[in-house]
Amino acid sequence: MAWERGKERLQKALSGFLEMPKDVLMDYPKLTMIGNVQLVLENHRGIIEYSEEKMRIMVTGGQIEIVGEKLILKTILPEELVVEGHIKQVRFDI
Amino acid sequence: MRNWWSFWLGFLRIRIEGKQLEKFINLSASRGVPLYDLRREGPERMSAKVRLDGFRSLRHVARKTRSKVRIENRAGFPFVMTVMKRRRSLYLGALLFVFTLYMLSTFIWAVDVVGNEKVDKQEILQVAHGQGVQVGRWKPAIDLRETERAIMNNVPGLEWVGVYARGTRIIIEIEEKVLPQSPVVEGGQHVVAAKEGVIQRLLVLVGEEKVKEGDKVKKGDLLISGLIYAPENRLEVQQQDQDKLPDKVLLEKVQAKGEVWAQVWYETMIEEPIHLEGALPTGDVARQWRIKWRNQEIIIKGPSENPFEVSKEEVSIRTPLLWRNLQIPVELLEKEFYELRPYRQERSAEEAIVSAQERFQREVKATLTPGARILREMVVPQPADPGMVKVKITIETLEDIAKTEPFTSSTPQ
Repeated sequence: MAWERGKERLQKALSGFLEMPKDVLMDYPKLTMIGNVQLVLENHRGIIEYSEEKMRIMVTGGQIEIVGEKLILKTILPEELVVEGHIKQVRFDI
Repeated sequence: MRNWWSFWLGFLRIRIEGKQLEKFINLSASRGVPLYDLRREGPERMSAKVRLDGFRSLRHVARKTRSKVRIENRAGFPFVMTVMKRRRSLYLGALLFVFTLYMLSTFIWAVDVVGNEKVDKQEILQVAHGQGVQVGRWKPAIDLRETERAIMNNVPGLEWVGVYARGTRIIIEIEEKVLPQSPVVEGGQHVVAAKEGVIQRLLVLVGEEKVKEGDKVKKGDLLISGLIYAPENRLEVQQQDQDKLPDKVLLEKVQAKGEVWAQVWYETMIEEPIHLEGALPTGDVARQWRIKWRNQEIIIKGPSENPFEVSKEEVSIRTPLLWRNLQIPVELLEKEFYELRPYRQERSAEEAIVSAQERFQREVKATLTPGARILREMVVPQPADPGMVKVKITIETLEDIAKTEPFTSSTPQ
């Protein structure tokens, strides 16, 4: 555990020092939203729950919950997923 | 781009039924099988699109998650192909047709020569033929630039040659050399009078003068001779008897050149009515269209009769062409009536004379050589009928009457 924390601190320091985006170095999810109709999530770890109203997606260090209407998974690739529909809420449980 | 790819690879819409649908999605994503357009259709059911090449590995995923996968719809090129396979010869024929058409379009079907007036077309085509530019040859096998060079080098009288292909047609565009305007005369020539007149100034450039200033010459008289004789003989001729001509020593034959300025008179008698009468178009036009078939004519449009009191009519015939030379024996006639309005212009006798004078002046000016000028004009009224004027107009000009003439014609030597 101590080793893990040290690694995390080193990565944080490195990303600040090298001015590199945090999602590349630290596996943070990167969310891109177009209005409330499309959400592109990079660096996901899998889907936990999927229905038309609610979606829970595993990411590094926790979950992201998307609440909305008529949600569809437009694409799912090993690293990236695209959600479309009427998005109302995006909540982070990290 | 992704859609384009998926079309060629082919894709399936599948329905998945099971209790662990999230696990199904995660597993297929981690196996590198992308799912598209996932739709939840119920608590234990969803539909998705998957590429054809990824469908096979979904079977393992389905077994692991204990879900059923059913294909709902097929789309894309591989499935189009299976339909095509059933009608193979039809599509093969279509493909062959396109291919044949394309192949035929790579051959030369016509060779055109554009822009030649003096140079013979056959001569150009022959040189082009030698370079492979001929009907039936394969277009990529010929070098157009090389053909241009060959035509340029082998055909005389060309200024520029351009060879280019327009579709199956090879166009050889040429520009001919513009040669000097005055043709080169072989042998010597005389200068003779082009008009009757009194010589005012004589300027001999080449040759021997035969007239003096102040001489009256008739049309065709020798002015400057192109035959040069030895001077001593000329003296002898003057001293000796006129009827006994000695052998003159001809020194050389030259092309006589020079300017001979002479006073030339133009004279005419003009009779002109004092008052002018005529008719002018008013601009009002009535059009009549008729169809003519054998001897029958039917008016299809326009007035049946000429609506104007005074008019002029024009008829134009249009023969419709079916195709190339195929004619139908029906003619379309267009008859146009132009309305005219008579007019009468009142003039005084002086005005009539002036207009007659101007008319004659224009006529004379049209025949003058460049550089000539009008010296004097004389108008002498003559007795005339009532309502008419009659004048005698004389125009005196100074102009160059020199005209070259080769020896072959019978000019005095």
